[in-house]
Amino acid sequence: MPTLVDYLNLAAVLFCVGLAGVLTRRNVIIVLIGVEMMLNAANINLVAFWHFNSPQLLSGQMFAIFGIAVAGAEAAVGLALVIAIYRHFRSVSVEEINQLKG
Amino acid sequence: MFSGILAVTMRNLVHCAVALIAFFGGIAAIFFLLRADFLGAVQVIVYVGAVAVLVLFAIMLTRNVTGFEDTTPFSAGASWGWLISAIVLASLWFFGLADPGTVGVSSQNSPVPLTVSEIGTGFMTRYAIPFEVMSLLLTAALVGAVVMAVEEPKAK
Repeated sequence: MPTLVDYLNLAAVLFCVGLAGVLTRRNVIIVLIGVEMMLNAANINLVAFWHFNSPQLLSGQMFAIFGIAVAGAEAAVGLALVIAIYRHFRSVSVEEINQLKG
Repeated sequence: MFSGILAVTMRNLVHCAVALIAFFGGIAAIFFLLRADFLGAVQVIVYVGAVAVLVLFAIMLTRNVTGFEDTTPFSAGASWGWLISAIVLASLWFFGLADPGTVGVSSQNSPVPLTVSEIGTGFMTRYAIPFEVMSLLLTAALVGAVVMAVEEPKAK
């Protein structure tokens, strides 16, 4: 039976993998994937604390559901931005998108 | 977890997306393991269904060739990125998890599983206002995404 600390360790590792993805990759889509991974790691933390501390309350699951909703909205807006930027610059590389006024 | 590592390190974008689907499935399995059945189902529907398809569509729309190999996948300052994330991980372990007494470990092994009807009742009673705010946010995100993706057809 895994303990709370095991889940927290897993979430920390996943968060840092997502952070590394955000910081090191060139492609904007992979950067967005990294953001999604970090949000998922936060959700694991919320649900793990809910499970081990107060499983009779609704709050932990509610928080995680709101987190999922916000992450979904962020993914939709982010990918729409990526498509709009690609149409303008013909590129999805972070290092080539360096003008505010095209 | 390994699929998550694969998702940020592979060169081929489509392979990245497939690894991302496996990663989301793993998260859903963790939710089921934590007796959060409704959240697991939501994770499968929202992430494995919607977000993965969205990412695949974005990849297909921004690349003409599906089997595109990114020749330089990592940016110039990538070593700084690895360094920073390693430092964050080390500090999380050092400050947060070195002392198990700081996280309240009161592991009851048989929690009462929440039913979906309890969650629905909670949405309609105690969490009604956040629920409305969340639906407003989702509507705004939907409209904004459509507006940005369809912008100015005769600009060029």
